Amino acid sequence: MAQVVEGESRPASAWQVATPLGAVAGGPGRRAWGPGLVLAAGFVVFVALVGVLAPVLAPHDPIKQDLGNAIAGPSAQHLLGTDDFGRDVLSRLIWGARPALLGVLVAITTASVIGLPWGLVAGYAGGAVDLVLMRLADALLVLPGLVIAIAITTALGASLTNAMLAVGIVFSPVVARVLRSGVLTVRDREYVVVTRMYGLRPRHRMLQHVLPNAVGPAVIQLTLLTGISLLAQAALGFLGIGVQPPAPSWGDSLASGYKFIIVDPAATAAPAVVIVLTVLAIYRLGDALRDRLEIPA
Amino acid sequence: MIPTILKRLLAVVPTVVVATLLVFSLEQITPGGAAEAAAGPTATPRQVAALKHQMGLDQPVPLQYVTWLADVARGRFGQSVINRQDVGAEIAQRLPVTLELTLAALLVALLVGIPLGILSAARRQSRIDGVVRSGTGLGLAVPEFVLAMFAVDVFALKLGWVPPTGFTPLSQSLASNLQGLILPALALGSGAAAIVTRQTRGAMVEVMDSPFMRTAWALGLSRRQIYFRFALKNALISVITVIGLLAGALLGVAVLIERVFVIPGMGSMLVDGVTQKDFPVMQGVTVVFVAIVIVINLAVDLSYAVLDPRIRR
Amino acid sequence: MSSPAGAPRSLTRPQPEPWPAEGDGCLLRIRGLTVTYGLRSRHPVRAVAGVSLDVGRGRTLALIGESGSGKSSVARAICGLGPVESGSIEMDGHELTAAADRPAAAGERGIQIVFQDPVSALDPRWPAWRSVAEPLVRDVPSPGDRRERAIALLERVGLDPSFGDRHPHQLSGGQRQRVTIARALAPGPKLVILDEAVSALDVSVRNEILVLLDDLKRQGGLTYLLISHDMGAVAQMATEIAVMYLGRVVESGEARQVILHPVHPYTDALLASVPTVSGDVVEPSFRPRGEIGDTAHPPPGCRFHPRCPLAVDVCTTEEPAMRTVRGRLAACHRAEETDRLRRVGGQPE
Repeated sequence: MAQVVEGESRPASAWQVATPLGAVAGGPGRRAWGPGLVLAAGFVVFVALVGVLAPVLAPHDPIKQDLGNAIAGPSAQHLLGTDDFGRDVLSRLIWGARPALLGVLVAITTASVIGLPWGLVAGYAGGAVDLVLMRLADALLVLPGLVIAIAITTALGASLTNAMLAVGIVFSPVVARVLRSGVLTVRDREYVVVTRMYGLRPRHRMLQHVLPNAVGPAVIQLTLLTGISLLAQAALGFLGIGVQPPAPSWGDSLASGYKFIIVDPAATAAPAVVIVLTVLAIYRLGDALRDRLEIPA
Repeated sequence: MIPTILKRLLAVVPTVVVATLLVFSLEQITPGGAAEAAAGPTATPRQVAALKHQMGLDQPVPLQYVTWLADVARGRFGQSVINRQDVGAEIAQRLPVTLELTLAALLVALLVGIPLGILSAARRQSRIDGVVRSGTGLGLAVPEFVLAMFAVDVFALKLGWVPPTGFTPLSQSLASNLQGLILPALALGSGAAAIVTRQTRGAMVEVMDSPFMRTAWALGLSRRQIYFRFALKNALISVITVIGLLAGALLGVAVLIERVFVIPGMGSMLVDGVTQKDFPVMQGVTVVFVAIVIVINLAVDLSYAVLDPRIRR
Repeated sequence: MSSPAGAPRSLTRPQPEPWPAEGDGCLLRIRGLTVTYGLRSRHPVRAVAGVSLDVGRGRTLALIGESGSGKSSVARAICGLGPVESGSIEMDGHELTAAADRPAAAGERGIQIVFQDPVSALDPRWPAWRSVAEPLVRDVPSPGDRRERAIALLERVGLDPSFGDRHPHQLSGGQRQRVTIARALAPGPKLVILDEAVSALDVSVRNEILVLLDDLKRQGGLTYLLISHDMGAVAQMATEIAVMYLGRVVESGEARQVILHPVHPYTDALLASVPTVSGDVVEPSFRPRGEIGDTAHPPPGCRFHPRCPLAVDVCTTEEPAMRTVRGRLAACHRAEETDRLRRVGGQPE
């Protein structure tokens, strides 16, 4: 990871440093479906299921207030207690899985929809087009991500979709850069170059050969960004910028639990643990994906 | 030397342009219009139009950009839509707070991360290394603000070692200022410390594994000499590379930490302006954040060029 | 007078026709081809400085030379995959350099190319049949039909139909090269350019492929332009040989003649690597000193003179024109004498 040899190998953005590959599972290497991977995959599936089945699983209505019973500790009725509005913490946690995964989906889709064409065009076209597009990306990557995301959310209006859209926009230059270097590698390979003699349009080359072969590293980057976007979502929710009250979200659960943390730390610990575990599971899956994609093809 | 500095300064210009354009354009593209948002839901069309004129939103867009940029460059950010206070003055008050917090966190990251990284590299594959690696893995996965909350619960609320919230400005009392800063700085710096540890370790291991090192070892240089002359230098350069990025990221996360500890910095200002679509505040704070990050990166770039002659171009 | 990389002075000198095979018998005609890389940059490199070649129908012209001689640049220029600064490339009577989409035009006129590297020649994600069928995508819309034709082509190159579904990483180097050849044959070309097509293969496999190529040529009435630095392959396959050095053709003629009785000193040295040719042992009269020059800054006068033991004063100042010597063309000031010099043991007197 040292960058001593050339200035070129310096990381371009905090994102690349913050989630070094192998963050969880260690260095690269072909690992079979070991227990860690199974656990990770299982956990993500579990969270997804919880979100889908929330109406069935949650013991209480997550927004129903019961002010007389506010900040009650864990009990048989409320396994994790109630929050400062008397709402059941556990139910809010269960329901919070929905915006969590939905939000991550929005963020990653946005990052892809903006970043992939950006990187593809820049890498394939080369020359001035590439220069301009990449200068733009570099300029954006210098800026503090969370601050920009908050700024964009201000403009768009505070909501889950807008907040995650903003996060996706902040991520897109990273995706663009990664795809672009993939494209540069593949663009001059013989199987691409030779198709020019077959009277086929450039679009054929780009979509059939260049993109599929160049997209691997970008996909890996996207899985890393998935983990980060979950953290971003928790952060923005904590600040009250994402999901708007009274709708439940993990970030909001953190914020509200914090208000009475001294009395009932479980109300804060539960969402914290869930968030951290989900992020770790996502990183682990990303590592596995990277292992698989790195088979010499 | 001078041409290098000039070149780096020139390279910053596109970034500044892009960033300011971005911040400026946010006001233009906000759905529903900025004037409408400022006027509120009960305003009549005439009131909105008047406000629009007052805010300068009826001018041609390029002209708006230039006037806005000129104002911003002079520190004139306008008035907050919510409380009518001068944004510039408020930023001036809050900026030192955020800076102090961020700097303290950066210090924590370096003072903890570098030694840990060295230790980890020196005792590679040992149990200590394993512990450090797990620790950093956790540090990267657990968000700083979550860590902050539990730190407050344990150290401030239950143990009472430090105050849980509040902030005393430096001018008032150094002691309480520092006291109030310990926990926030530690929490904010945890993620960065993890990154610094890994960078340091990685850089040292890379040098230690290189054929060059084995030659030095064979030539009889003692282990300590090897570590401290070559590997460490490489590690430090590697860390400096990352400082610019870390500073930027830390500024962002500081926003969250300020919320947890109720610290009156720029971060809380920014957040408060969101739901109300307070554009002067949002734009003012964002521009200042961006400016800080650009300056820090420039400083890192230049010092990098000074330290490593290979990079100098 | 020196000939810097940018000066076209020596290109305006007309070059005589390489050999009598002209008119209808000539499939590919190249005249005065120059290829310069980085034409508008600060350091343009002229890889090809005025090359003229004829490839007769049904023949195999081998273009030989060390790496850096410009042979690959010629190949790419013909295919439209590389730049052309000036000159003409006529395929079957049609000028290719003027086309808007040069690679497509070359393909239309019946040119195809097989490259050296079997690894990057095929899309790793595509099964072999799909790669072979790709040239047919425009004209054969049905994937089923294309697959049929692809399988037939694979059989023609000696691969069992089951190979069609394999991916490149499941194929050996020789098998991949067969697939690449099948793909080149798919559009029914007239001229196939083999750019170091066997250089990356093991010796045993190399022979098989050469035999295959020979069979295909005879069955299909193909014409080959063989680019190689491997004299063994050249000796096996070539009917004519053109020798290139630093961007120019220095000798050309009928293959056996060039091999057995080289005129140009450089050809002589190149042939040192051929152990036997049909029982005749060829002994080089000298080995060239030094390394191939820098294409960007070729030496003044005859480009070969710094390494040539036969060099005299005129060689350092004047670029030799192609002259006909003993039924062949060679660009050497001392072309007429070299035969005699060889017989005397190769030492200049």
